[in-house]
Amino acid sequence: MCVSRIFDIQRRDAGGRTLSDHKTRSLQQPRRHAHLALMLAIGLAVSGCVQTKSFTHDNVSREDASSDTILLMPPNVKLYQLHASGARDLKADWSETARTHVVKKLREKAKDFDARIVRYDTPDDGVATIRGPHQPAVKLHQRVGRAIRRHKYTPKFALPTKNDVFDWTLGQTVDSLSQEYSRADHALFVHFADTHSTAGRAALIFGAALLGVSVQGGQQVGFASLVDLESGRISWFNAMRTGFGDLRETKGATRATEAVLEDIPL
Amino acid sequence: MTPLRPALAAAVLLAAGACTPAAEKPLKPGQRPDPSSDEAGLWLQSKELERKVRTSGKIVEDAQLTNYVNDTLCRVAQSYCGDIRLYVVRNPIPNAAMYPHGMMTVNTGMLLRFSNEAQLANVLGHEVAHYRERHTYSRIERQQAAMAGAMLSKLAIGMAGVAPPNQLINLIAQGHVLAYSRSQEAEADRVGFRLLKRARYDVQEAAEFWDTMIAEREAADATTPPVFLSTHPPSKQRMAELKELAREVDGKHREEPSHGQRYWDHISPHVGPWMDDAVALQRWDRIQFVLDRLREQPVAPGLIQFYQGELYRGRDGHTRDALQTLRAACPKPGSPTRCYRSLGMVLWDQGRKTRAAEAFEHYLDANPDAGDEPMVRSYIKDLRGDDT
Amino acid sequence: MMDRIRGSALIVAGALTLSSCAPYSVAEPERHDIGGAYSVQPQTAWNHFKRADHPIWTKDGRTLQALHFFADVKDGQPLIKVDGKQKLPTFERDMRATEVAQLVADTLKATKKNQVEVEQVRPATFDTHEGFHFKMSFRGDDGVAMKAVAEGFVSDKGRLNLIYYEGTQDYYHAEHLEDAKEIFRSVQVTE
Repeated sequence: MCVSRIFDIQRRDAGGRTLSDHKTRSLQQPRRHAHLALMLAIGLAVSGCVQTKSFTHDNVSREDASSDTILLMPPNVKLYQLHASGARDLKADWSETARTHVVKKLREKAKDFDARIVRYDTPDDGVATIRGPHQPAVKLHQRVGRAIRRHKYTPKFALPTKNDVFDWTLGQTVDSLSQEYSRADHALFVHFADTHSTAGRAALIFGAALLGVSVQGGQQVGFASLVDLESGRISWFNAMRTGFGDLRETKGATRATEAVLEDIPL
Repeated sequence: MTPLRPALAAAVLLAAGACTPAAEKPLKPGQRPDPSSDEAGLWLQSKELERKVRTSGKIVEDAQLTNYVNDTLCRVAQSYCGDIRLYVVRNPIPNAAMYPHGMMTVNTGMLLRFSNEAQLANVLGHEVAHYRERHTYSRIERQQAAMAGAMLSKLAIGMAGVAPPNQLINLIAQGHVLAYSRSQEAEADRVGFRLLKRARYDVQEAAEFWDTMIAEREAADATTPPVFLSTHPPSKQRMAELKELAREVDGKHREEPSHGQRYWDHISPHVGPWMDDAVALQRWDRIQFVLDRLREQPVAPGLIQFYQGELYRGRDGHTRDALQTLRAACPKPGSPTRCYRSLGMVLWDQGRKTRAAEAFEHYLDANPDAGDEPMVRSYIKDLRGDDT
Repeated sequence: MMDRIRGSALIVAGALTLSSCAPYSVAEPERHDIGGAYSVQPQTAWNHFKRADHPIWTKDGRTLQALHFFADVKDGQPLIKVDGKQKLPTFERDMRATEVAQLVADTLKATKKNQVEVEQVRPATFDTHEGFHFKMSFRGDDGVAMKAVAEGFVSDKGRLNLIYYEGTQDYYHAEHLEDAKEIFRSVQVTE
């Protein structure tokens, strides 16, 4: 049975009857089930309560890769504390711990795939994570990644001319990366955002439940993209979402990393 | 059973929102927050924002300018100099902001409004004081506590829904007003004043600057509320305190310099592009206010007059003023060569076709590689073609 | 638990049948009327974004490239509508080509683009009408370098008709520039 942190509480109407007696009610109040509906609407293969869906570039065959060298871009791992107010606080120590776990897991997974990892050399000024010459590639990747998540993962926003097409690319912006990291065939971008409720919010959720209202707990989203450093194509993209797991722990990090790298063509 | 539940629920909800931030001691130079603290999380969020700001394309990178502004900062911030990263942002709206983790932004619109280096130093010192006293962190914490209260009351009325996870630091960056409290502003004034005095600047300039900002707010129309004054609300009490502090300064510290010439030596080369940004926004009364003050500074009169002409050209019902002003401005040193293009437009509007063609020709002679050369040539052709 | 999931499934089913509310539809390679002022015919299919105050077409996503159609813009009107109190620059009926280019540049500046440069303004025909063509470059709020090209004309009635195509300087502007140019060439003013 799937353990979920999404608290969906049985609601009662004035007469004390539970919701199951009034199915039509939920249609009139879709927002209360919005989080569940969204998860289902992503149209996903549900495997244990972690939903993932991936895409491969139209011009890339999965048999391509023999022994790959992968440039691991600085993983973007952010852990938040979700307050009673609904505001999210970024937690510096949680994020750092989680990032360390994720990087370790990524290296281990690479070994499984017989691939070598080259770490991106981050500048040491304490602020920047990407060096100047590589900014255009990384910034274009941010836009392209957002476009993919919008148009491929939310059915409502699908682009009709791209229904069976997956052909996004970073074009020649990757040259700056392939020149500096000449041994790498691909760049791997990994991104996780994980929110955990505060005691206050957990109390709020519990209290709200008593009032007959559902409030969202935390959740974990992640995506990974594999970029061909010769052509600039997004060879593969995967997004995942789950309502449980803790990236600060080895077990959680393992599960999340495995989910986000599921069916990566290596 | 049912009547008991709401009471229990209410008790739980109230307990959830009970936390308020504890008062914090000022930051020491080089001090960083404990990694597990909320403050560290805020610093991390701010760093994310800083990365975005750095690579947004909006930062002025001119080394002469940034070195000058940073030198002024360090003179006033002293031991905090290494903790502050100052970015000059290309934006005509006068504003300066201090972020919790040491990033400071000063808009080019603000730089156009300082009379001299002392006024720049005053604002920089004031912002450093906000950093030192951790004001941004505490006002965000307070706002969050307030939001928790709002959320709870929403729930109590039975509205479901989750507030969007807007990170407050991003809201601040987008210009949403999160005002410093009166006591925070007063504290920043006092600390800033000490820094200004210690750096050997004319301390009268502190009150001068705020007076000018208030005067501009009064002169401008109410539809454009000033961001800087909204986040740093001035009050009669604050202004009185600043003047009192200046009066108390003993004899040997009076007559400190304000370094006007040095300031304008560094700022003048940028007045043109920064005024273009202001003209694009079309906030005409503010532009007039700035021009009136720029006239008193060592900035090329031809340049000021050109923008006065552009202002007349942009506002309705000032065609004759535009014509007179541009005609006088264009031949003056310091006036950009596109003054002739503007003059040509005004002359054309008035039906003075030959004169308009001449103005356009003058523009092209001075700018043979102008991107709009083909179009302006076609204007000349039209204008001359109608000559009988 | 099962009841709750069933309830949610109903919502999902409901949402999927409401596809007429979907923001993107196909703009087929056929003639399309634009606001009753002019028509265009693309050679290939585009994705038409219906939720803005003017038609916007894209191939790969609006943040990557976008084709904007402005029709019959009146004296005193801004090119686009934005939320909030923000004041946008407005079109004036007696604007000339270089001033229209400046209007677009100022609109970009007002919507947070930076390093906006008008690179070229030249005469061009819009169907059989005397009009203009201009090129611009700018950077998005996130710093991504962008390129834009536009063609249009101001009608005798003092209304602006403009087709504006922008895309990321890297890859996406160039990728469908020919398609955009063909659309410019296909324009027919509705008399």
